[in-house]
Amino acid sequence: MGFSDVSDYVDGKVDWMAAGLPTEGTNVKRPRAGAVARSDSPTCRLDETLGSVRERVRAAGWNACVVVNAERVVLGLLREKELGGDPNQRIEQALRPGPSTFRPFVLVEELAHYMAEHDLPNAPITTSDGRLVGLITLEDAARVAHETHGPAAKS
Amino acid sequence: MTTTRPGTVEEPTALRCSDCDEPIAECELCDERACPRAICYGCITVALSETMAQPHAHGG
Repeated sequence: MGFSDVSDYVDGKVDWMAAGLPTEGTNVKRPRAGAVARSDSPTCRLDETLGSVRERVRAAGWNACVVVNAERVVLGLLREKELGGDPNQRIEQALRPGPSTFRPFVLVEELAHYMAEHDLPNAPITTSDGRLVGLITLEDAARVAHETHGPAAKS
Repeated sequence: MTTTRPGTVEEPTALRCSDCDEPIAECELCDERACPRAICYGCITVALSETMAQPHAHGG
């Protein structure tokens, strides 16, 4: 068929997209959650204390922190409510365990709609094996969704 | 909670998915039990197109 360099991605197309890897096709220009999620969002480990994590999170200008293990697999989430707890508490006691996560290929406009409807300020974006890609904020998702459908997007 | 008969306690009315009406423990999107638009895992994955048909592992 004329292809000289062919790879077989055994885990399949959906897993490829879930990892946030580049795709082609008619929908490629529609922004995906993986592209909008902030990969520099703060993370912390289970054995840290809430006080030190809160200080770091606030200094970075965030109001949420993703709890991960050494492999960057998401274990939990600290939102505003959890971050406001006892500073001496260990993260493993303070975290919101097993938060809902979304895959990088989810369309931003769809996710923004649901996040706004559920008053969800942020959501972790992960690969299919649970590794953190980044945290998407409602503000970012809504802005990108608006730009996609705004006058500038039609040109 | 309301007591239905001596010795038994009826659980509070379960949260239900706003799409399919299935009882759920908490909203799959916002993880809240008091969510007025609670949605189950199945409905949110369909809504966010996460349940695309898997292509053949090998072409052809």
